[in-house]
Order: sequence, then structure tokens, then C-alpha cells
Amino acid sequence: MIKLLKYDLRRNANLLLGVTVVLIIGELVLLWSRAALEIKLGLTVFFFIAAAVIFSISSLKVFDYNIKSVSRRLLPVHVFSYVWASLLYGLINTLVLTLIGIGTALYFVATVDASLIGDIFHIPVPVMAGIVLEYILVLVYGYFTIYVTIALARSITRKGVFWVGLVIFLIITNVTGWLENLIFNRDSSQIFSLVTFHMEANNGVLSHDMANSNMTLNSIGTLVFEVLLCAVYLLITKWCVEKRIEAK
Amino acid sequence: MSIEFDNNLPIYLQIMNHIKRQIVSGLLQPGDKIPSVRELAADLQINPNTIQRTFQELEREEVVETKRGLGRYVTSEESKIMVIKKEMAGDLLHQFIHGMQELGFKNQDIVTIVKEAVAAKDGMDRKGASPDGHLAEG
Amino acid sequence: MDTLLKVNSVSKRYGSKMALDNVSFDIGPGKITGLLGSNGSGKSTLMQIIAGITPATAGEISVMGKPIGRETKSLISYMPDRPLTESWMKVKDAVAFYKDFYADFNVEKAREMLDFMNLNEKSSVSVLSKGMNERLQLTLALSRNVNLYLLDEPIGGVDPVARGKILDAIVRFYSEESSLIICTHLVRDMERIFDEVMFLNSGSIVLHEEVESIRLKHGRSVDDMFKEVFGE
Repeated sequence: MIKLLKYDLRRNANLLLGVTVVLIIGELVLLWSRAALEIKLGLTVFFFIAAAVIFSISSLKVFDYNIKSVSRRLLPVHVFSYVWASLLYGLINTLVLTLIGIGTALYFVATVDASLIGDIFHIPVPVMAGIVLEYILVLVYGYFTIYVTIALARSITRKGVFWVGLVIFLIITNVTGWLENLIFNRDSSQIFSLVTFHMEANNGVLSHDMANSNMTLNSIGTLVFEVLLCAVYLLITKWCVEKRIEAK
Repeated sequence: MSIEFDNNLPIYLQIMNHIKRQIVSGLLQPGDKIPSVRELAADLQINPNTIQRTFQELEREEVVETKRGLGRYVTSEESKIMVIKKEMAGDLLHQFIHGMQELGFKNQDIVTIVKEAVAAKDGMDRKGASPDGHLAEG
Repeated sequence: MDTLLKVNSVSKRYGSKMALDNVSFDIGPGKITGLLGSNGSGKSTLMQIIAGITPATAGEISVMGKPIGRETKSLISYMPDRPLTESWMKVKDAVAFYKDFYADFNVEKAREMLDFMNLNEKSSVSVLSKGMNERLQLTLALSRNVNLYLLDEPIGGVDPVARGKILDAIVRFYSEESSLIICTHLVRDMERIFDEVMFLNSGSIVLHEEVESIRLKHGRSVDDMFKEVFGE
């Protein structure tokens, strides 16, 4: 799997490095300039969204390439390796973006109210860990959903894969969302369900409510449900690749 | 070694004939080593199994013998080589006689004509003339 | 082991079209088999199914007794009629890729063959001509030490000099434990290296015979037989 990742990274090296370097330099230039804060914020958000979109598309193309290209499909590797390699690729990209993002966010927080930075660094580790974990789980769940969409779309048709995929994606997300609502009485679009933050803008104090109040059966249930869904998606993807998808 | 092969006839037979001709003409002397299956296959760009079959047939006819661990060699027995010569001549003779008979020659005449032709060719060869009777430039 | 490859009633359908219709045959070890047919006859599809990159609609295939799957990918080396290399690669990267993923890959042999084919390890894959690309693909495929080699048009679109080199490599390379199946439409150039041939016409096998038998029994070359069957 790591070998697959190595080659995926090398194949996309120019794109990844290029976008990363442009983003960093762009941000530095922007933040150093004398533009108004709102403009800096606005442009920063724009830059990050652009970079995120590019990276996401690259991640999906990597997955698509892994399950579809002749050179990959000839390899004596387990189907799951294609998934893990693509996932790692996606997560690495996200990590890079996140790190740059955190740096940039800290700048903005400091500009607004420098004392908040101290508060941020005082957030206890378990809470931090909770946030990071949730963040990763959301990403993984998102990727798996899209992977199974791509796999299913490619199993069903050879032309118009994108549109078929779009339809499948909408169906899957709506059905799972509806199910979650039914079973757990909550919205799957609610993230950070384990921890909630309160931003007290008035007195500039950052407080947090850890798990206890929100770690209800519902939120754990949603988590478990989504993990199970990931497993199901994985198996469906495996079936699609082995039985239906032709390499081109 | 480059041979003109006819794809319409079994290749192994053609290779066999080629090797026999080389033996008969002296290009391959009795006791000479023959290239291995691999070498010959690569040289001629022919399937190794075909070469193998050729060698097997040649061994069966005792034209070629295998010395364990050393390779394949042309037989050193002169008598066997004579047998091949006669065999190869045999086809040629048969065709010739048949052809001459078709032209209307009687058997006695054929023998006389052959004697004259052989003598004449001998003479021409010594003078260095080309086969159609003209003297070579010199 | 008497059968290397067993293909049993394999069919492949694309929509309403049957690319392969109930194809069955066995191939033993140490054989070089020609899979011949006109364009669209299904020979590439058949190879892809054996190689495990296309699923069959019906039928079973086994290599050394194992059904087509991850295990058989280690027993089969496939050279498709299109390049497998990624455009960022240099020749040495392509070699490294094979070495990374295939335990049976022989780097020394690959280097020897690259030399023989006049390919420079430092060349970028994207600047190679079609002929040189074919030579690279063949080198990679043949440098693996496996039981079954599937070569799809190894000499198509290649100049005669390169053709000679490629045929040479294939013949030198032969071993008694492994077999090669070679697809080609250039029958005349290749018929001397085949043990047996299979004619595939519109998805069905219409002939499967030893090459020398065709010559002995029918007094024809495989090329003539081919033209007769496929009506050129």
C-alpha cells in the first residue's frame, strides 16, 4: 500500500508541490500586505477553497486511477490496498492544507484578539484529540462515500460516469442522512458532535463543553453507524473492482 | 546461418535437410559439434521445440549423436554419411530420370547423355567458363 | 503439472455483442502459442480476462490450478498493446516500479535486455518512439520469471530491425516450464516461432492446432490458412 502511495505521490508531485508553494507564497504576500482585514480574510478563504478543491479532485483521480488503470490492476495486491493508498494520499493532502490553514487562522485570531491565542493553547489535550479524531473520521467517511460512488458508477456504465456518479452520490447521502435522522434523531451534517465550543465574544474567553453534555447515545450511535457504513462501502468497492470494473 | 524457409512445408524437415546438406557437402565434418537447441533457435528465430524435434529425428536416423554433458555431434561413421548422400541424391535422381523420360529419352540414351554432360562440365570447370559455354573474362 | 492454463466455456458480452462465445482450450507448459484473429475478433479481450483485468461474463479460467485472481497475477506477465508506463517516468523508474511490485522480477535480466534493445535507462518514457516503447514493454514483461506470458501484438507497429530483435528476445527467452501466448495479426513474420496456433473468429475458436501439423496435413503455411479462414 505504501508502495502504491509512493507512486501516486510521484505521479502527482508537480501538481501537489505547485499548489502548496503557490498557496504559501500567496498567503504570505497577502498577509504581509496592507490590505484591510476583511479583504485578507476573504481572499484567504478563497485561496484555501481553491487549493482544497484542487487537492480533492486530485485525490479522487488517484482513487479512480488505482481502480481503473491497467498497470495498477495487474499488480498482485489486495483490492483494499487501492483504497488505503488513495485514502492516505487524500489525508496527507488534507494535513498539509490543515497545517497551512492553522498557521493562517492563528494569524487572524491574533490580529483580532491576541489573548485568545493563549486560550487556544490552553485547551486540554483530550478535547484537542477529540476534535482531531472527529475531523479525521469525517474525512474518512466522506472519502469512503465518494469512493463507493465512483466504484458503483464505473460498474454500471462506461459513458457519462460523472453524472451517474453524481446521482448515486446524492442518493447515498440522502438515504444515509434520512436513516441517521430516523434512528438517531440527528443530522449527519453536524460535525464536532463530541465537543462544542462556545465563543464568548464579549469577554473574549474561549470556553468549551467537553463530551459529557453532548456525548449522548445518539452521537455515539451515529459514529458507530458511520464506521459500519465505511465497512460496507469498502466491501461494495471490493466487489465492484473484482467483478465489474474493467481496466483501461 | 540464414536459411530461406518455406512456410508451406514443415520447418523441422527443412532444417533437417539443411543440416544433412551441410554434412554431405563437407561444411559439417564427421564428429563436428552442432549448435545447441537454444543457439540454433535464436539464430534462425524458430521455435525451440521445432529444433528439438529436428534433432530428435536426426538422432533417430543416427545422423547425429548426443554425447552426455557435451552436446550434439555429427556422426563420425562415414557409412552413415554415405547413406545420407545416397538418400539425398535419390530424390534428385528420381526427378531427373522422370524428367528425361518425359522428354522421350530411352534409358540407354540417358546414361550416355549423362556421361557426356559430366565430362563436358568437367572441361568447362577447368577452363573457367560459365555454364552456358562462354569463356570467362580474364 | 500437465496443464498450465485451462480456459473453460468463457464468454464475454458487451451489451448485445458477444465478444467471446463459449471459448475453451488448454495450454500445456513449454509452449509458444499464437492467438490469431482479425481486429475485433476478441483476442485482446481474451488476454485481458486471463490477465485478470476484465471480468468474464461466464466461464472459468485457472492458471496452475488456481482461479483468476490476485494469486494468478503473480503467475502471469501481461504485455498489453498499449504502454503501461506513466508519463513522468524514466526508463529506470519503470524498471523500479516492476521491481517494487513483482517479487519475480529479475533486474539483471531487465538491464541486459534493455541493452540488447538499445534502450537507455535515463531516457524519459515520453520521448520514446512507438517502437522503443514496445521494446521497453516487452523487456519489462519478459524480465519477470513467471509461468505464463501474455504478449499482445509484440511486434505490431515496429520497424523490421526491431522486429528481429524482439523475435530474438522471445526465442532466447523460452523455457520448458513456462508458456507464452502471443496475439498478432502479422502471421507471416511470427509463424515460425509458434508451436501451435488458435484462430479466433468473432469470439469463437475455429482452429487449434500444432503449426507443423498444419504444414504437414494441409500443405499450407499458417499465413495462408489464416487468409483462407479470415477471408482476406
